[in-house]
Amino acid sequence: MTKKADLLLEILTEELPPKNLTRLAMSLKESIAEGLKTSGFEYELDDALLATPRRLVVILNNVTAKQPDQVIERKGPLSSISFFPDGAPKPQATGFAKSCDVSVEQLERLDTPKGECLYFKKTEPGKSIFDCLPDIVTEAIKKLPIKKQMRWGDHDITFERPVHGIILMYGRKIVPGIILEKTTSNKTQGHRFYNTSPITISSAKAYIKTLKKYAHVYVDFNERKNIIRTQTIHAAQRIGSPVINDALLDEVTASTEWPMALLAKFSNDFLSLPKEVLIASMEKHQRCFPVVDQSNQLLPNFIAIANIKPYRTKYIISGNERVMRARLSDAKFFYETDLKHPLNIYIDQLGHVVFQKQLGTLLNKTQRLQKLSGYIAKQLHFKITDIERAALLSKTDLMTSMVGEFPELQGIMGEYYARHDNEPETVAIALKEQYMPRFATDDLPQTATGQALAIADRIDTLVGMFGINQIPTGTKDPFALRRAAFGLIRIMIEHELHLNLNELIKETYNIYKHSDHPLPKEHLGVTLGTFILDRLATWVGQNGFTLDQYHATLGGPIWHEDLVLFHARLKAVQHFATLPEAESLAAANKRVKNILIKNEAGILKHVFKMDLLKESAEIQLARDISKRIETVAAFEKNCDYTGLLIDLAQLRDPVDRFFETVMVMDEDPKLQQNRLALLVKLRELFLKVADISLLQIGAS
Amino acid sequence: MFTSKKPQTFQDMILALQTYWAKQGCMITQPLDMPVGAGTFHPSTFLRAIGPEPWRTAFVQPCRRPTDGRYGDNPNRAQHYYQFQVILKPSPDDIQALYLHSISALGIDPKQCDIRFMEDNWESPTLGAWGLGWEVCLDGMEISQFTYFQQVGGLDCKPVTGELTYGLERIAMYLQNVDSMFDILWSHTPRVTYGDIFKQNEIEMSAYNFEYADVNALLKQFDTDELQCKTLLENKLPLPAYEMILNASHAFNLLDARHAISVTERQQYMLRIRALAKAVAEQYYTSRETLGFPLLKKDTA
Repeated sequence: MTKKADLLLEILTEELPPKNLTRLAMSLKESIAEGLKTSGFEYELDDALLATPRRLVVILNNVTAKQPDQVIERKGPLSSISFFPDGAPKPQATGFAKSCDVSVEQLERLDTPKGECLYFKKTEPGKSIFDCLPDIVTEAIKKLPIKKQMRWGDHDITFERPVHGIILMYGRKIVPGIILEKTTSNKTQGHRFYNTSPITISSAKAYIKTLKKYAHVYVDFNERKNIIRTQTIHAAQRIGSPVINDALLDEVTASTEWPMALLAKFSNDFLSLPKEVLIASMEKHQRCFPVVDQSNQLLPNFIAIANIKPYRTKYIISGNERVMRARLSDAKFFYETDLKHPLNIYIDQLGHVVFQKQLGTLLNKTQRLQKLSGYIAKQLHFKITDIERAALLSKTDLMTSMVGEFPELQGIMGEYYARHDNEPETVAIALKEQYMPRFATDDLPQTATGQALAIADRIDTLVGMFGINQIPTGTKDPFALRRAAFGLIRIMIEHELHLNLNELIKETYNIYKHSDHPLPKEHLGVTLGTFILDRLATWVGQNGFTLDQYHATLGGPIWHEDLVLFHARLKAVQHFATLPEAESLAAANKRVKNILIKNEAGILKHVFKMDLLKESAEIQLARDISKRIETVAAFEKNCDYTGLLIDLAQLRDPVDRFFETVMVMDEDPKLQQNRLALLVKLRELFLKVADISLLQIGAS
Repeated sequence: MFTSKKPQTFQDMILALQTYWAKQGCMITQPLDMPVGAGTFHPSTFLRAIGPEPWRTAFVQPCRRPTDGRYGDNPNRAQHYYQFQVILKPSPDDIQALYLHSISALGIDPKQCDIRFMEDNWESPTLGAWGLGWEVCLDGMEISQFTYFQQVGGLDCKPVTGELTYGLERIAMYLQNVDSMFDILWSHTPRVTYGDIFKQNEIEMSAYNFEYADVNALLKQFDTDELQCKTLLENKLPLPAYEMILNASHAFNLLDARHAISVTERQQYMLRIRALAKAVAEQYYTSRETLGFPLLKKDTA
């Protein structure tokens, strides 16, 4: 049995950016595990995430001490041609020996079916972990997803922040090496302010405990996260409960080593501010957790997380309160200044703010949105007046002081200010809802006005950006067009809004065409269509449909004429796939499709004639198909695609019998054409919903 | 970490910082005698960060940011304030420790408060400069900017300059436990507050910045400065050319305060300054190179 021990790597750095911390730590661990595996070492991988603002840490348990020995075998030339009659080696033999780094005498012989040949075999002893680890670590560091590499001092290396030390240990021993210009050691620094002298680590196993016990550092990210969560709840307990945003909790966890939650307060006067403003001030500006009472109302309190546990906490608390007071005073000043003017005074100013150079100002966009949302409202039979008003005011809150300070409150402030201006309630709500969904799983706009405006806003941006060739590539999507397209799809499908996407794009294009910013690029419908279709595939996958169901449905009627109907057909296909008849009918459809592809010429024009049918199976199928044509028409009219496919499922037996007993490609061309025409009809029935031949049933 | 006695006044605080940094081998130099928005514009920062020559200095720099004026009404914001700027080139490996010791030298005990290095990367599009670093927070309040320069004037920084910028008023408010910058005690004898010196200045300068600054004259000045800068560059005079950039920058900031520049134009003006800054940076590098990078020789001698 090979010897095993734990492996420890710590990269000690200056404070790392919190938002990238867990990604770096995970990547480092994965790359090192991968490197060990490739080099033939064994280890145990757990899911611990070890990272603090000043250290990236990897611990792998029970790593083998040595690579397995490698047996190297090589076959050389046949013995019969390797030697001169006097036994002296020919060049083939000496050449082979040389390539194996031995003399001819040292070569062995091996019997092969072709005859005896020269043979070389050696056992390469596996390298020790001590020899391999520095290179494995160096390679893993190269692969780190560092957002912005930096240099420091006059060093030639780069990293996310300056590096101060590397611990590399195997069991109790230091693995010697030089990584990022640092000589590996067993020494580190503890908490910045508690421990001024270096901490020595006795073994990889002892690392986490040593730092916790003697260095004021919780290395385990999730442990620290739980400590902060518990402390935060505890700190608020007496008065209410904290609002813990998980992203903020992660950020705070990533910026502390020895956290302590502290309850602080602010003046009641600030509670008159919109709650979103208070929350943004606390969460975004000060990285603090808000506190609510039992009825979920904000209290004039917040929880600050310090990275130290001082003897007296009151100074840190009063310091944080002072900063919060300054922040909230600013916010209150902005809010009160904004309330002095109605939103509509900003409309002209929108003309000074560029939306996109080639697409004009926010005023240009507003004017397009008015036309576009009017068009959408008409298509959806929504009340137009409020929608046009909402479109007119849609971007005005961007000009307010509050949104200038908190850009993420766009729309939300619009709603507050519109209400204050006594705009219709639907208009106020639409100003907020136009931005929804703000992220993939966010809520959708609930009001008709909000939905129309949300669709208009997204399609205007999509058509405009594609029209000037600002198309997302790879990970680059500066205008968040993917999110816009995904939101568009969600709103239309999940709210069952029957809009012809193709027509909508054309209308948007025309609105641009008749504005000051006509789009240079033509035929954008195709690229934009593909782009939206890609997002549709994502949506479909996220909503429990399989890829073959999606492709089958795409094979039916044109998807972009109505996404709601597309969804209905998709659901029908999903249900159909569960029917016992599905497998056989999918296979039959595939067969029909192949036959029709091979015999494409002109058959579509033919209608099958009853009097040309001979075999009983084809007569039966023809009768059944004729019957189904009538029933299917009713289902189709009601858009009941699930019912339609269930109805068609009855065709399984006649179809199966037809293929068992009837020869489609009969010698008589008349009979052949007639049978093809019958199959065309059969396929047309299914194609009203989907291309069932693409379903993979029972295949797996 | 040894914690000193708290300086009681604004002037004591400056003296404490100067004494501390002088001991760390920094020349104590003086502010630039021109309006600038930050210590970064001081030639001792912007120009000295260029090229291989070492540079260690500390100085107070008065800053003017016309748009931040609040007529003296806001306790935390003003159009004129002070930065304490420390430039360490190359940035020493213990630069964070040096900085933290300076905080202790101000009588702040890092074990009794919450000092944090929060990611904050710096970018100045007009100077073609960027760096990575932090804002340093003290009990939730930003008290310093800490930057490792990566590029200046479009040139890679080799070696890297470390820039430490202290917000003096904020630190003084903390040390003196006052809620308004105007209540900061500047000196004991005579007993003078920050407000005694600057309140009236804030009121009058805000009025000038927002209401009276002559837009046409400023627009013309910007163009003149730009032209002059180009002429100076043609005559291989990067130092006065740099001063023209500072003039143009300040004119631009005043125009901004007067809302005389639309968003679209803004970008154009910034690009114009950036082009000049790049040209000055390159020419300054060449002129130092022609001189044989004199400070480099001094350093190794």
